[in-house]
Amino acid sequence: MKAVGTFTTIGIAVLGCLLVGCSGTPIRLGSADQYSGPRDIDANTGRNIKASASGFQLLLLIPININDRQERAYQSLLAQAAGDYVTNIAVEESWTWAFVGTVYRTTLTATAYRRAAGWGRPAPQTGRVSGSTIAPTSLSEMCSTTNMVDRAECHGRIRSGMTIDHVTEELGKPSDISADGTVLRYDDRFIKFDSNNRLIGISERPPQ
Amino acid sequence: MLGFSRRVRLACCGSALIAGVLLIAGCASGRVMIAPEPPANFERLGRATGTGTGSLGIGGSAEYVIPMWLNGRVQRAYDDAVASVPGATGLIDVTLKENWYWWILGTARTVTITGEAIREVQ
Repeated sequence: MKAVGTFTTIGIAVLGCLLVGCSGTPIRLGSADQYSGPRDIDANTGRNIKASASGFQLLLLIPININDRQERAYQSLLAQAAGDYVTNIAVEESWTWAFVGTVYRTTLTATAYRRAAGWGRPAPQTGRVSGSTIAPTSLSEMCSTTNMVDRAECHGRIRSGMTIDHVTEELGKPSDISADGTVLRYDDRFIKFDSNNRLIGISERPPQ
Repeated sequence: MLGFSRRVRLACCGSALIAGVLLIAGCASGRVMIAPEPPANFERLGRATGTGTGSLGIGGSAEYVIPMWLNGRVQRAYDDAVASVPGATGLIDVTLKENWYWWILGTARTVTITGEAIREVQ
């Protein structure tokens, strides 16, 4: 009788783990200014970039680096883009049987274009200058800023075209909202929306 | 003239080689463009969602090596998302997510693609 109880407990625990551990991390694709009108990019500088990440599923049940592999591949892709405009993102999923489990691999390819001179804000620092070379740096390091709006924008979590609902979902409740509801203030950053509730700009001063 | 045991050995090696090639060649989705550069002028049609599910199931032995609709799941998810909004020709603001679950005889993986459906306008 005691053994039945033990097996039931183990079974419930296994089922619980399976239900919890089987959800992948969603990733948003594309550059922040991709859908906001004409792009100031140098069309002659397009280059192909590619990144991949793998995970292992042991005995069909146990995920090892499985659920976040797409996010890791995308972060690696963005690191290669180094702040350039990223578009034409394609995904390839592959798997390889490894006897005691399966290796799953996500490969992302895209085209990166350099920004034209004078584009919007200053180009982000993408590496540490060491002698005559620039050492690569991680995206989290590149986007390390105390301002939550700048950090979210750098990571691509907020971008032009997003709705007010999506922005507040990402950033939480704003410090202030304009009377007409088209400007949200988060500390010293102002996020402007158009009449269709689409994000059209971020500034350090209240929009006119 | 080859002996019987040597022919059997050659047949086994050949079969293993073919199986290996099939496993390597047959286990990729192919490249699926899910966030292409949007056209210069487009009309936003609303949110779109699509899913594609496939499984890796049990084979003749205790190992699980048979793909069932697994390799095309990303393409199906994208096509499903575009088709979910009438008149849509593409997606922007695309989000990709994959969930999986175990169903005793295999593992199913579901790719979900969401985005905003658009239609190119002249």
